Amino acid sequence: MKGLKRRASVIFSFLLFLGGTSLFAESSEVDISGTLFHHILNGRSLDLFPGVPAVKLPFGISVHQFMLVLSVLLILLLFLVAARNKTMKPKGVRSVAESLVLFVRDDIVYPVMGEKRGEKWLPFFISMFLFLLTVNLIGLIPAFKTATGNINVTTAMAVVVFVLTFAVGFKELGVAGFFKNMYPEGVAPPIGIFVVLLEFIGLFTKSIVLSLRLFANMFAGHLAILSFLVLIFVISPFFSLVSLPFAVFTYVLEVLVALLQAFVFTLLSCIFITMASTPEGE
Amino acid sequence: MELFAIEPGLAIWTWLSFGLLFFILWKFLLPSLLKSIRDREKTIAGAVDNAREIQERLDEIKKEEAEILVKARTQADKVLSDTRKEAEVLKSRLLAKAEEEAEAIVSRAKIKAVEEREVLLQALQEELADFVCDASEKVTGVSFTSEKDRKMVKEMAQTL
Repeated sequence: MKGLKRRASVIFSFLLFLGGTSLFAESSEVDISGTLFHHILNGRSLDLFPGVPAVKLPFGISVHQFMLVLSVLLILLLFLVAARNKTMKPKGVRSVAESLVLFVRDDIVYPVMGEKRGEKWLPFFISMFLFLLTVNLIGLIPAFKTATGNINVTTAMAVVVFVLTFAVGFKELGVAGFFKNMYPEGVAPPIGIFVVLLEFIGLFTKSIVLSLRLFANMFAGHLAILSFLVLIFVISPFFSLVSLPFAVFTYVLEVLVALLQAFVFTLLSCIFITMASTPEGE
Repeated sequence: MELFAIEPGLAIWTWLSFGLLFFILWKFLLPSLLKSIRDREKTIAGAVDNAREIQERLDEIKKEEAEILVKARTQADKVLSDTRKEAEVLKSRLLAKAEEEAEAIVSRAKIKAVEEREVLLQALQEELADFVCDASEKVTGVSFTSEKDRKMVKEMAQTL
């Protein structure tokens, strides 16, 4: 068993080396940063295998759009399969789906919103967490791209949270109540108005930061992995002995980051919406 | 810069994808899953409550059992000590009775022995009187057969 594991890791490293070599075969002639960004940024075709011509996506959709649709389909498939298994003791796909749902419910929504209010918002945050998690993770499959490494996707998600923050705040507290909620009690008007202004700007910055955090983490992770692989061609093929383990380590770290960022985005969204719609002091 | 290129189409695509996912999950897939999770949690909570109640009842029974055991032990000790006391009393009573009976037997035996001794002594005196009379008759040739002689010899023998 131990020997088998060692053999598998050697084969995996060799394949990774081969993949990396052919992936950047033209790197010595073209510019390194161009190649790097080509593998991260949005495009209209998928480079499935090194040496194989890129697959052009139908209907003129971009790779990131395709990844978003693929993620949605995967999530729906997971829940459709899970819906079939209705036993008292969940197993397999059902167990995975339930674990994810329970994680969002017990670690994100209920602690922040409480049970009664959280019940209503649960489907929204489950959808958000699963959507981000799947989009983050799908980009870790070789030849696929991370849509959350695109600022437009993360901003679109942050805009959803931003709009909901206002909408829910206005609905729960009223327009006047929403702004009054920002005014700290027992503070002189000049300072109070200044605080309201800051809070109002804060609503925007929170959403911007929400968007940037997810984008930067996902983008930087992929850039780090590819940078380690590019070093082989920049320095020497023998440098693969050093950069390959680092690339594998960063890849494993990226799995963790993908999960963590989906969690952070969902948790912060939940907190922002709750804060905007809860009267001061409650 | 391409990194921060604005792609409104992608943003709209993101909203559509997320909106579609949310709608399908919210309307069709999540309700049954959440309901089954809630039902299971209720069942588990019910089973846990039931188990807790059983545990509490078990603890009560154990407590009662311990109390009953202590009570039974106390009662047994009391019965044992009472029995011992009674046995002691009975023993001493029986001993006293036995001693009394033994004394009575001994005194009765003593009286009987004295009586038998008296009888034997009387018989011996009569025998001695007869013997003395017979011996005197042989020596003197005079017959001492009268009742008067015998009585005299008897009285003499009694003085011995």
